[in-house]
Amino acid sequence: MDSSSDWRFKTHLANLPIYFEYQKDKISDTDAIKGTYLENYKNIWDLYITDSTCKKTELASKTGSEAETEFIKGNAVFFQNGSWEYDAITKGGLKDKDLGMLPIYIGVGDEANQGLCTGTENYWCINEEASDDDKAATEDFINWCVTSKTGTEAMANEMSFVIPFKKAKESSNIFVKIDNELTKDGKTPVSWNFTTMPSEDWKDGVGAALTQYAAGTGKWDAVKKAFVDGWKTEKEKAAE
Amino acid sequence: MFKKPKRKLYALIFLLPTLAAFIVGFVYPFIRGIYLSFFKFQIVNKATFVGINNYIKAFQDDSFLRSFWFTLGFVIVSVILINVMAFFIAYGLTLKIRGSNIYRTVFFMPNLIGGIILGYIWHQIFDGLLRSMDMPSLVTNTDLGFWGLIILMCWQQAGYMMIIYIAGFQGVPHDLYEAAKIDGAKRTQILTKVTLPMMMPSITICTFLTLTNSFKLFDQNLALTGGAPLTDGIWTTRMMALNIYKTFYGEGISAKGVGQAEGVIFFLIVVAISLAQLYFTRRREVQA
Repeated sequence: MDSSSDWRFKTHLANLPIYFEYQKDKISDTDAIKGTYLENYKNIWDLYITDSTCKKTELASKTGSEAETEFIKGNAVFFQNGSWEYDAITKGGLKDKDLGMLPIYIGVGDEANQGLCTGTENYWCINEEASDDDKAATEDFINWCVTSKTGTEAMANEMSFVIPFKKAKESSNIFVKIDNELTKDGKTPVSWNFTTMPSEDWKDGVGAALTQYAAGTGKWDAVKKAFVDGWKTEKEKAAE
Repeated sequence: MFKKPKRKLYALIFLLPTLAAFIVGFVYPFIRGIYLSFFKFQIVNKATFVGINNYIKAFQDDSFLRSFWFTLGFVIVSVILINVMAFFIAYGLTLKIRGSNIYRTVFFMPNLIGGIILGYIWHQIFDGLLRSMDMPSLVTNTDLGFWGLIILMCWQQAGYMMIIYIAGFQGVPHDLYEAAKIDGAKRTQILTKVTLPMMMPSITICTFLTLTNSFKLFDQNLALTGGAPLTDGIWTTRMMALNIYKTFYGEGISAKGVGQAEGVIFFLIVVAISLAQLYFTRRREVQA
């Protein structure tokens, strides 16, 4: 898997064992991850790579767009992805009625009430070095994006974004709607903890180890090592 | 046409654009880069001085040292293979073979494709081949990655070096061959005693080009293996340039300074090795 595909597993899927470990230890970040639920991570990964559209050993050379095409063509039933895929797959020909969403169950926590994985890792930033006028203008523009008719319509319809603001237009994205319904039903979303992941290098390490494990050239221990030891070294670097 | 002082002035004016580009595009960044290697910085205009700390960290960095040895191995193998291949292809194509112009074009063509694209194309080719032999992908095995890079570079560079060698072959005066033949030299003797010494200028330039190209290789490395696989926390097929790039954009406030220091060390290594090579091959150049 190259970087067009492995972000789904080294970031999004890896978030699940991290989320549940944080929940159990009642923390929101850590310098040393224990990897309490790595066995569950292994199980879900094994499930993913067994009986998928290609042989395990071939995964290493598969790309994100191949996975997308296979899903659109109906060769694959499940596709781990997010609301941002809506645009691509509906343009590819899939209709709202064909689509649904399922929480990722890995055998931890209260699964009956588990919701979808949601969150953000991106922020709108204002440069502190900019002049006061520019800062004010940027704030106005950002507010305009999430409150004005033109701004919210563009965000909701053209960009298929989730817009968590009162005055915002409701998104036409089916995935966003499903998420809203699940939350209304009292399901607890799994929060993204990407920002607490130590670094891009950490993710790359986990991604490479997962790829090598799937190809059979690496052991699961290498994934554990990249996950737990890699976390520690990368957090130390970040703290310098 | 003009009086002398005026001519000088015009020369200066005509030099100016190139000189300006050279200063803006090379001299300034180069000096600034060396300067920044002694600093800790996130953005360049807010740097704090840390002395030689970055250099100490660079030498303590396992991935940097490992990438040096990997690069060195790659350079040795690729320089030899590319030059031997290019030399003999050029030799073959200067014998009067039918359609040798077409062959020359064909061999030269890989040079016209960019490194990133080549890397991806060869990635597909290798993986397809390996898949048909039921073997795992190139990116999961260090040795496969190494030889993959070698094959890719030979395929790309041999054609370019071939052109230089062909020019070299054609530059050998015919009377030398005639004289050798009259003296009763055999074919191999002509090759080793006449052609090779006369070809030394071409060999100098070709080894220089392949040496520095292989040392500085980045695009092909990035696109073909991306440094994978990862073994015990080390990306085993990361060459120096890619490793420096990854260090520079790594985590932590000191990452950029250390990357910068590694860049300076890298520059010194490349300069030292290529100057040494120039010195040694130049010494063997002869005059006819």
